[in-house]
Amino acid sequence: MMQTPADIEAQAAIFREVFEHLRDEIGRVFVGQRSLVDHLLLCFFCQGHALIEGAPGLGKTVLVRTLGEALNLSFSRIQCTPDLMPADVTGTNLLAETPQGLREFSFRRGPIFANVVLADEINRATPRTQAAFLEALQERHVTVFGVTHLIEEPFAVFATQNPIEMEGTYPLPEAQLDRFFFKLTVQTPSVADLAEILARTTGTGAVRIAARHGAATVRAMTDVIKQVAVSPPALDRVLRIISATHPGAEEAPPIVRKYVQYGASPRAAQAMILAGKAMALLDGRYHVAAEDVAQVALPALNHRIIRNFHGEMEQVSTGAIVEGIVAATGGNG
Amino acid sequence: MSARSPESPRDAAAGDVLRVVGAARRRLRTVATLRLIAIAAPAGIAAGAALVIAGWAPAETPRALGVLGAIASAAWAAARTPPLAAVARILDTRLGLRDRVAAAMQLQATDGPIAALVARDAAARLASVRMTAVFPLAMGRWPAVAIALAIASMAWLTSSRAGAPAMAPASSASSTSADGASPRSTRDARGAATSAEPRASGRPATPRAAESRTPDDRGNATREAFAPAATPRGPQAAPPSVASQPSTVVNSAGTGRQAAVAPAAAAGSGRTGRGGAGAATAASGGLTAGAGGAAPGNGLASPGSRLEAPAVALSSRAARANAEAALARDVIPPDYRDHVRAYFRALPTPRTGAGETR
Repeated sequence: MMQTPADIEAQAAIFREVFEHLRDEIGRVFVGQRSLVDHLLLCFFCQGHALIEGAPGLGKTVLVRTLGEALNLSFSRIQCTPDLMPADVTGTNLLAETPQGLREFSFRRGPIFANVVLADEINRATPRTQAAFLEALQERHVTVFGVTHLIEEPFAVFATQNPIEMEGTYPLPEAQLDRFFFKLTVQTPSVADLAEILARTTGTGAVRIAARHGAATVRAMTDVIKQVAVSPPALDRVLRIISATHPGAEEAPPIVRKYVQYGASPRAAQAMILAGKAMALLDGRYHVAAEDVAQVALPALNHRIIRNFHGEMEQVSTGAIVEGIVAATGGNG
Repeated sequence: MSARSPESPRDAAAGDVLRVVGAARRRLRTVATLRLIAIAAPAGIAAGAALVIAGWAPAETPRALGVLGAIASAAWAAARTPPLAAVARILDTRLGLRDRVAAAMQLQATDGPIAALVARDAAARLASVRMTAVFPLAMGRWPAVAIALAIASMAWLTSSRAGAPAMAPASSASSTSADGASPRSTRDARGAATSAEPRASGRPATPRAAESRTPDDRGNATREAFAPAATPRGPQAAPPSVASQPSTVVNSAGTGRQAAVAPAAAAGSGRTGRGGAGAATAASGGLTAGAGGAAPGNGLASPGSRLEAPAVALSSRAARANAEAALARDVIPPDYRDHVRAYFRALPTPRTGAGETR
C-alpha cells in the first residue's frame, strides 16, 4: 500500500512521541546522561545493537531493562561468565516426552530469543560463547543442530563490559565489535545527579514504568526511519569521515596517520546514515543533514577504529581520534 | 515512477524550490561578475595608465584595457557559475537550512511521500528569502582601493590631456581635409606637402586659379599650408638641427630667401606662373626642414637643444609668410583658417642670427 505524505507525517509524529515517552520513562530511573539515553534509543529504533561500557554500578543494566519495560517488550538478561556455554545463550534440543508417551528432541529457546537482550559483562564469556552471539547479532537467527530459528523483531542486544577490570576477561574480537551499531560509554554521574540517584533509590517509593506501545509500534517506527532521504551533503560527509579513519587515506588527519592502525568498516557508514535518519525525524525533517551524521560519528566509530602501538602507548583515546576526524572533515556544525 | 499531475502540491513545492535556487544562481553570478569587474576593470585602467605614462601605449589604452577587463570578468563569472546543486548547498549554508534545499534538489526527480515532504519543507523555508539579503553586493577593501586608483589615474590622464596644446590643428586638418580623404597622420601630411612641389609648379597660383581647383587640389593646397604645423609638434617641439637643414635653404640662403619672399610678392601682385611655382618651392623647402625636425630617428638634435640658426629662422619666416599668402589667396578652406592662424600665433617668433641681412 502506497503511503501518502500525511501517513509519513503521522508516523513521524508517533515516533517523536514514543521517543519522548521512552526518554521520560528512562529518565525516571536513570538519572542524567541525556546523550547516552538518546543514543541508546536511536540505536534501538534503528534495530542496532549497542556495546555499553562503564564502571560497575553506573546503571547499565537498569537502563536497558527500563527500555524493554517501557515499550512492553520481552526482556532477557544473560550474565556472561567464563563457564557460560553457547547453548546457554541460543538454547538447545532437549529430550522430552510427548503426550503420546513418546520421547523426542524439542528445541528449548535460550535467552537470546527476546526483544531486548542484556548481555551483561560480555567480555567475561569465552570466545566460543561470544561467537554464539555473532550469528544472532548479524543474522537475527540462531542455528542449533542444523535447524535455523528466527528471532522475532524487534531484536536488540545490549552488551555491557567493564573497562577497568580486565583480569579474566576475553576482549571482544574486532569482527564482533563491528557488529555493534554503537558503542556507548556511561560516565560517572555528577554530584547533582548522584544526589538525585540517592534520593530516588534509598527511599521506600518504587518507580513504576508505564509500559506503552509494543513491538508493532517499534517495527513501524523502524520502517519510517528507513524511508528518510539522505541529502548529498550528508552522504558526502559520511564518506569523508569513513575515509578519514583510514591512516593511508588522503583525507586522513594527522592524528589518524599517527595513532590509527585500522579504520572503520562500511558498517560504520551504515550506522551513521541510519542514526542520522532517526535524528532527522526527531528534528522534524525528512532528510538527513550533514550535521546529523556528524553528531553520531562518535558512538558509531568509537569501537571501529583500532589504534596502533603508539596510540595505545600514549593512551590516545578513540574518542579524541574521532573528534579529530570530525573536525578535519567539517566539524559538527 | 508514477505519473503526477503537474499541479500537484509536491510539484508546486518542487517548482518553488527550483525557482528560488535558479534565482540564487543568477544572483550569485551577478555578484561574482560585479566583484570581478570591480577588480579587473580598475586594474586594466591602472595598467593602461601606467603604459601611457611610460609612453608605451596610446592614450586610449586605459579605457580599452578597462573595458577588456570588464568583459573578461563577465565571461569568467559566467563560466564559473556553480551548478544548481552547488547553489543549493550554498543556500543551505547561508540560511542555516540543514541541507533542506540540497535534499529537495536531489529528490526533484524522485517520487514518493518523502520527496514531497522534503520539497514542501524546503519551499516553506525559502518562501520569504530575499536574494539581495542572502548574497549582498558588498565591496571589499581591495576592490575599493582598485577603483579609487583607477579613478585617480583616469582623472590624471584626462587632466594631462586637456592641458596639452598639441597637435590639434594638424590632426584636425588632416582628418577633415577638403578632398574628403580618410584621416591621415602627420607623416601623410608631410609627404603630401613635399609632393606638392611638382604639381604646384605647373599650375597658376592665383586666387582665381585656386578657386578653379578640383577638390583634390584644394586638399593638397591645404596640406601644403598645414604641413608645417604637423612637423614640429606644437610650440615646444624642437626646431631642426643644423645637420638636418635642407640644402636648399642652407647652401643657397639667398635663393631660399628670395624664393620665400617671392610668393608673397607674387600673391600680392596676382602674378601667375613662376611666382606660384616659387612659392610652392619655398614652402616646400621650409616644410622639408620642418618635416625633418619631426621625423623620429633622423639624426636631429634632442628637443632640449634649441638652435636658432639664421637658416631656421628664415625657413620659419618663409613658412609663415607662405601661410599668410595662402590665407590671403583663399587657398585654405574656411574651416581651417582659424587653425592655421592659431598655429602661427602659437609659434615663437624666430630670431634671426647676427650675420643675417635682410
